[in-house]
Amino acid sequence: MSLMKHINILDYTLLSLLRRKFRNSGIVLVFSFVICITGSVLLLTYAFKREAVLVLGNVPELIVQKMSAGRHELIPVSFSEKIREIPGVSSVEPRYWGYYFDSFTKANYTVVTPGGRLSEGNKLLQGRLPAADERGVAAIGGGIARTRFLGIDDDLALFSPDGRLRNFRVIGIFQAPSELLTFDLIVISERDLKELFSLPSGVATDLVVGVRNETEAPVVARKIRERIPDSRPILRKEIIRTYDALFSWRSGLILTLFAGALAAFVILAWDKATGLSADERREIGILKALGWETSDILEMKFWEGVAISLTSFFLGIIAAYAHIFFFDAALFAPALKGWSVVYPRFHLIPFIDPYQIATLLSLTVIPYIAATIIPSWKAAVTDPDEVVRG
Amino acid sequence: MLLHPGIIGLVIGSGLTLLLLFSAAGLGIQILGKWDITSNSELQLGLERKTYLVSTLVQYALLFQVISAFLFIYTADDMHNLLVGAMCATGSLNANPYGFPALCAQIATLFLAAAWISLNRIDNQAEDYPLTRKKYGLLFLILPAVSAGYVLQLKYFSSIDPDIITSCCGVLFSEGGPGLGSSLSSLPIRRMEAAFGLLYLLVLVSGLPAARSGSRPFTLLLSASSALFFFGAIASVISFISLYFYQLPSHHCPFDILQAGYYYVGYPLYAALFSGCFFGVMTGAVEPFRKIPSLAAVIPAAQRKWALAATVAITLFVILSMVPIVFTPFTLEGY
Amino acid sequence: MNADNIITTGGLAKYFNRGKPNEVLAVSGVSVSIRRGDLCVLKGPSGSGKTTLLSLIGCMTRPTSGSMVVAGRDTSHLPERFLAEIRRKTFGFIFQQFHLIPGMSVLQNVMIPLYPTDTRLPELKRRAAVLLDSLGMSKRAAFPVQGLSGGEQQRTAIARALINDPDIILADEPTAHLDTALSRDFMEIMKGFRDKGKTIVIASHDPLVFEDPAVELVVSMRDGLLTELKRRI
Repeated sequence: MSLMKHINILDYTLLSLLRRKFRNSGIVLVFSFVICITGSVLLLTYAFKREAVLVLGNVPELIVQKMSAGRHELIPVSFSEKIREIPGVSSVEPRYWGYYFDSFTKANYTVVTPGGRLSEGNKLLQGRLPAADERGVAAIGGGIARTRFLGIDDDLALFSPDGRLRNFRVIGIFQAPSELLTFDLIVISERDLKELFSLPSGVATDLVVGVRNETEAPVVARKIRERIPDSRPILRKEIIRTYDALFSWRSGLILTLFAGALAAFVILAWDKATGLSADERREIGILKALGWETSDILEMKFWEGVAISLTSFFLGIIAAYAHIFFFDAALFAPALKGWSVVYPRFHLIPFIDPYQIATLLSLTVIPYIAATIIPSWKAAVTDPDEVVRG
Repeated sequence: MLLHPGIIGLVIGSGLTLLLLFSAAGLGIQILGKWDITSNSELQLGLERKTYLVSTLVQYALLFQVISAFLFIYTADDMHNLLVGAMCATGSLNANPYGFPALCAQIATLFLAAAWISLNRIDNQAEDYPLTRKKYGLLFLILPAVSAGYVLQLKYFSSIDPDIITSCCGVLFSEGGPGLGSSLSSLPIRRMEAAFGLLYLLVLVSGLPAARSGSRPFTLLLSASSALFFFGAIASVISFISLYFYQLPSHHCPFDILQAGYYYVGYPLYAALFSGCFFGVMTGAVEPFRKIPSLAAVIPAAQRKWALAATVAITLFVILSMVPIVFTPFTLEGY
Repeated sequence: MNADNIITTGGLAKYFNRGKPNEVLAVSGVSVSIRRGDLCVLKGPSGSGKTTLLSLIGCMTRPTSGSMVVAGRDTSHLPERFLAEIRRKTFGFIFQQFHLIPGMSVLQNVMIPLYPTDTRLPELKRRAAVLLDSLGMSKRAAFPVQGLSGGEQQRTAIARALINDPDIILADEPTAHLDTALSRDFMEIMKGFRDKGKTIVIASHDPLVFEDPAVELVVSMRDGLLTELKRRI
């Protein structure tokens, strides 16, 4: 185990690489691009997953909706009583919320009532939330504030279904760790919401069921279905799984489509490595004649691969990081963000972990290194005698 | 299910490992068929040059395998969100009957590839390459392990069904349950601790003299004690070491320590255990080659080096596993 | 066999492309003994096999048949791995076209043979600098080699051949690209090393080299065969 020798060979390799700056920077450029694209897909997927976890962290363990003709319908508040009787249920609360399509900005807003989990993780940038029975005021998400140029004390105008215009004075603007969560949010009091959407009395959008022991939730869900056959209980865990599978599947799909580009790159790498120039062949011959051994040359080639892949890897991953977190995934947001309607601006929380690095390594660097093994070996077994005989 | 990015990475990564080892074996057949070290023909020269390719292929395969093993565990860990009842890698691996065998095959490949590289190193130090035949024989032993690993891995990922409820570490490593995991968890802790200490002592009393003199009974003893220590250590991790890391009297999971919440301590821990036991076993395993004249000087030198490496790495493992026992207030007294 | 012989060959033969239509017998049945401290010249027209013999002696290629002993070690059957080690430890090479690596400095070129060893880089640099100094090249150390004159290139090549402190220096047509004055200089430098106990083998068809009075042994070759072996001293 002689360490010095390996350091020396590494030193020589770097010297040797610098001599062929032009040729090597070409391959680094292409490789970085490949890594940047692949890395962007991965970073975006995991950023979404994290957003989802943050969003769903606020989702109650169990929600009950009413179904009619296979579609989600308003649920009678009276159902609460039947549910409360089930053992293990600690609370049942009606929830009022809805989507509002704004024809000015062509965006969908989510309208909710204050209270409960809403105030927990989300900081208000300015102002405060409306009180439970306060009329004519609203707190809004940063996205709405930006697109409609609203500040504190400005009026937010919304149409109710009968075409009447209603004005809400803005008293708060949201700032959340994840903008996805509050971006399109409008918070108004319960009575305002019922009026805005013309909700009949005695019904709610859905019911939030509190369960004493979370592991009991599936059992409670089953019992609710038995007692109220037209209800649909939704478990938080189920939502998380659906989202998770969806994100993995989507990014997997993109990566598979991208495999073509990856294959093209590997072929390029192969081609570059096999096309050993006369110059390089001569250099290796000289080294061997001067007492370098075949395995020393192989080691040099290994370092060469490491230097090129690491440089490209870092360049690529920095570019991917900037692409996703500073430039808002401009290149392929449409493909991945399909489920959300319109997000004029969209910032993800920077997030990266060793798993993503390892995945990215096996998707990009491993194929590259594998493609260069045989060419490196061919170069390394160059006969030293060739150089002497000219 | 197969479109998870980690799974695509694994299919590519271990697929390439498989490809490299198969090419190496293919070259191995050519080399074995015509090998004649006494010949000066161009054919023999060509074969000698091919041996460089084979060893490069196996070395890269080992490198890829290390990354793949890491990725495999981590992917299994990441998938627990997708599976009902799974909270960490144990749950995901347990989701169908291929998970744990796939993991075992991965580890076996890791050990066999490393053994091949060590053997190759020794062989290359003798002018007549005396181990050539044995080396390429071993290569054919690696093939079934790596193929099985790949097939099991594919089977595992393709037959994962998110709707089937899997049992996680809480069940698999619960005391009093059926199965190997549970029997390991319900081993009496005091006696297990004593056995662990005893095995370590055995490694020390064989490893230190072997590192000093490289003489025969100690190298063989070190081999045996490292192998025993490997299984003893894994049983100990499940039985009591994990409890101290989690500071929970009933959480016996060997995978959770790989997570960020426990500062990834599992990686250095398992790295020390695997490398230590590997070198320990190798020390005795090369004993029969000592009588080959051209290796008479090479082998004892390598044995001393390996014995030292084994002793140091295993000691590191013991120290790492002792840290929470010594430095945290958690105690198993009374459980 | 004499204990003084540092290189002994017996019936050495080398085929290229054996068994193919373009088969060449480059060296055929050559038996020579070179003593420690000899200044030896392999003489012959181009294509006579002297360069092949030089590379056989220098362990750069394995003979097809025959025996070869270098410094008491039989090298004719050694695998390439061990030949490389012998090249590094025992020989210093000076090539016909110098074969310096362009794009690197004089100092770096001189260091090349010792990179794959456990010599630390600072120590390696120091040794290279001392050698360059002794050859009057110290002011050129940081210079890229492609900008050197022919004589300077050769001095760099000589320094590179000496960095590993070899017992034997091999030179292939060293004066082919030099004028008379520089060729004389080269021979003077070689004689200096011979006087320090090194063995020197030069392949050349330049009379200035093989007629030099200091040369002890002249091996004449033609068509791969040894035609004359003349020991002068």
